Amino acid sequence: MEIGCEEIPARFLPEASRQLKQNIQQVLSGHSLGFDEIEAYSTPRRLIVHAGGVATTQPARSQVITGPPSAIAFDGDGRPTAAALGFARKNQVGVQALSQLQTKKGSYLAYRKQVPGRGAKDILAEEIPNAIKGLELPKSMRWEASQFLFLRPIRWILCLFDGQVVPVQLASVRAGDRTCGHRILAGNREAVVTNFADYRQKLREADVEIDSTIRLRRIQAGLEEAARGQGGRLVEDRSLLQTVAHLSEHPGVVCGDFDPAFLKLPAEVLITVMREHQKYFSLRDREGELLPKFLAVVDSDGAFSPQIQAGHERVLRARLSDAAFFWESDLKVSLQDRIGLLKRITYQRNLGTLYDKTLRINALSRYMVKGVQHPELLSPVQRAAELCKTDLTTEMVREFSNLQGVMGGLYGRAQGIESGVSEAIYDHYLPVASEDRVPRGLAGAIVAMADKLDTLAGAFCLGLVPTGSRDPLGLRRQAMGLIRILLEKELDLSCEGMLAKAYEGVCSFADRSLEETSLTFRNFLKDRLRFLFREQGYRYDEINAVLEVCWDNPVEVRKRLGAVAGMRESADFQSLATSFKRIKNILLKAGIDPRAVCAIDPARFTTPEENRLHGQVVTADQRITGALREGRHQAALGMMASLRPAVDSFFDRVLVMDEDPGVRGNRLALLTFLLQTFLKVADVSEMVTT
Amino acid sequence: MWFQQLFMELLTFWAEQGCVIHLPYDVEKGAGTMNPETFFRVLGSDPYRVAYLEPSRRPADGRYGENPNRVQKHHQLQVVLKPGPPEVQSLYLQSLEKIGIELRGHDIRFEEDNWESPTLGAWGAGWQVLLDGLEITQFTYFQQAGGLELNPVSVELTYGLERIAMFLSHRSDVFDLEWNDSVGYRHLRHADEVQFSRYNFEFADIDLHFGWFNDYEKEADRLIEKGLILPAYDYCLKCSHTFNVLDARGAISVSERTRMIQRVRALACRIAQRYLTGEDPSENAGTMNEPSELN
Repeated sequence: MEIGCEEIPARFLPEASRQLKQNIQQVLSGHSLGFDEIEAYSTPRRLIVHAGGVATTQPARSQVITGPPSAIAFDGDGRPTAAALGFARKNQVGVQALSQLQTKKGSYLAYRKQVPGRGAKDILAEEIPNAIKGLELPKSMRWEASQFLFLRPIRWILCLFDGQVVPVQLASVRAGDRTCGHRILAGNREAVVTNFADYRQKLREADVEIDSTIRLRRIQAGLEEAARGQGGRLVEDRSLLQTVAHLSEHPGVVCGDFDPAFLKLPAEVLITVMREHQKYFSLRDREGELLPKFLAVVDSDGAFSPQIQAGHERVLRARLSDAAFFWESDLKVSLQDRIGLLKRITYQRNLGTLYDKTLRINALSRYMVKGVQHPELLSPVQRAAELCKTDLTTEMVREFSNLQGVMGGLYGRAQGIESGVSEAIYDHYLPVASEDRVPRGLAGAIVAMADKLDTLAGAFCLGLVPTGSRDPLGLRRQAMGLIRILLEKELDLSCEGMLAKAYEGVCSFADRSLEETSLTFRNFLKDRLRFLFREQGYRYDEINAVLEVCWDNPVEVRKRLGAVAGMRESADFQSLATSFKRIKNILLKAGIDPRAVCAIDPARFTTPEENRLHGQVVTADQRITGALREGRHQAALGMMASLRPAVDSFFDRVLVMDEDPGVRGNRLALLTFLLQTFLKVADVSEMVTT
Repeated sequence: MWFQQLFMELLTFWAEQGCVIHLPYDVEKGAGTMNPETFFRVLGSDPYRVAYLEPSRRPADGRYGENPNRVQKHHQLQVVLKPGPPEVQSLYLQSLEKIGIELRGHDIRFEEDNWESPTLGAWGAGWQVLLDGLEITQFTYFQQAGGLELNPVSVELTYGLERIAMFLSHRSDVFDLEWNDSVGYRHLRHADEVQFSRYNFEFADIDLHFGWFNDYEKEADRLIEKGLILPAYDYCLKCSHTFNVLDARGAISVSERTRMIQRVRALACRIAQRYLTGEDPSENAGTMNEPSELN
């Protein structure tokens, strides 16, 4: 099946294609139609599904029709009564074809009817329109009186089953056996198709490659070859590559030049202009310097390259002239003088202006400088914080919002601002995507964290929390960025402490208390930590065990995770995990708050096991505290594990729930203390034991 | 190809397709869509086809006649086909052939671009048509105008004439275009660009313009209540242009900007509603996202 459309937006193609395949697959499975293979393809003008080895009919199935009770179906001599004969007649069979069915209510006369399967073609004709209406399309449009909704107008449908047209209709278009060639290269030529191989062949002849992975590989090869031909190397851009593969049916690569005079613009600007405006790839020379060249992916073949190249070069010249104009005119106003302009720009509804945000970032940054104990950073961090948002007032960032921060850094450098400060400004939005690096220096890291914390505190104090796939403020990204900076820079900072400081800044706007905001933040951060460490290969129970007792400092979380993961296979640890669960249960049943202060009276111990365990826990508690302070997490866990013999013999020989309430209370207090000692490291009851 | 030849050829082509060849509207506007021949005609159910030339003013795009690609007044050729016929894309491509573009020798793309006019409460789904990377046409299936769902759906084609002319004559400076065999674009347009750039950026009287904006809005409002929809629309357009001048002049703060755009949109939506139903939906019409510019 091929749904022929006017150009479907590239960003929707992969998902629409995936869903279409899934829905058709469901039609087949849902109707017990077996198939060997099913594959989806797409081009800007078509969504294609091919299923091979599909059964021509559904398997026959038997259906049981229940008749009258056996008691009234036969007379005393076992002869069928009028009731039985009537039932047989109704089903158009003789009485001998009937059988008896035993049910809970007794025996009934029954007819097992063989129902032949329906033909696949009929089923497809009936179900395909539903499969297409069932697509969850992000942005549909109407184009004709039927008010049919689709990504773009449907202009033809090819739908064949075993060489025969499946009579499907979508909008006002009826399916046929024809496809359409490349709009320009093959002049939209129609071709009659008999089967899938024939279809692919005819479309290849008509300059259409339906498989986007083949197109992508072809483009990649073309780009690399062109780059080699120019003595340069391609500036890799995976997502642009994906996009252009969905923008052509017959991709080709054209190489063009631009005036080297434009190289006075920063490479970041040149690459962005080429990428954002024109979807061009850039080239660097062997030393990594940008070359005055570009690679355009076109939907055409090589024969016309020179004139197509000339067109693209003219367009790029105009674009680069604009960028040069922005660069020159932006430089005329210093970043310092732009601070005042921030008062005129709303940061976010109910969270003040960008100037207000700047002040908050500044205060928060100062607080963090103290936390990381690098007083010499105070001056550059404050300067960077003051200036970090000023590039939002420049023409360049208004045109290319993804250059925010970068332009501030570049303009700062060009205006003679010291390199530590301009670098911090440049980096302070990082990391945005998961493949991005974190800020290079500590100053940039601090301003970046302050910016993110302010965004998070601001949103949470207004009750704006992402739900499901909706995260319009990008808060998940912000939180992930914060965590990654803390981890990669190995900063021992308390997130809760920083949030409280951030809350001070936004509290005049807040409609949630600090406690509420902090709780939201904690859960949010824990989710991100869980996600991040899962990605790094830790197991979910290890992560839960640690996050249960420690989330505030991601560096600490990582250390403990390493220790827990390293220990988990040891026999002592496994056994402790089991004991730990047991202790938790006992305390739960006894109604004891595991966080309560426990008053243990050694004089009331009645068995040597109690005394031994108590002695060991007291020592272990001190050592664990010490080890954690010194960052020796493995050792702390080892101390936990070393308690195993004492714990085991305690449970073997001692009955916790003694009749004497004093003895019982004392034993429960001992267990509570033991639990609290363990919890300093990790909640090992979360661990799945083998 | 001369500049005048370009739009004459296109108009001839669309006349052959049954379009009424109309004229520019005599009120300043940012785009051909704002001409009543589009704004009102796409509403309601009557089929219609129209094509016209429209000088479009975007004060903020002025560059004192010094930039080879940007001007504060450019020319659009606007085509509206209501309803859009199934073969509309190939008709459009034929129109390119008509002006001498040999399709096979070029890279022609329809890349997603969903046009939106915040002031008109209008949006559509469609593409920008790229010719060797150059955006030459906005191609839109109108979904909504004046805050109202449209049925039938009209197709709007907006050709950027200067760009196409530059492409066809291999010029990289708009002022090097030839209007006809003896008169150049520079001769006809340059002084206008210089003077209006100075006016829009430096000399437009801010207080007067704010006053006008309020007055035009008041007048439009009064006329809507009287049911004089067509004159009301003129004043709505005047509001829009006055706003654009103030914006170019740098006189509008960000928060003010959003509010003023909403005020113009409210007028446009009421006018559309009133035009169609005879009823005034009052001020709360139109709920679109925050707009970026007024075209």
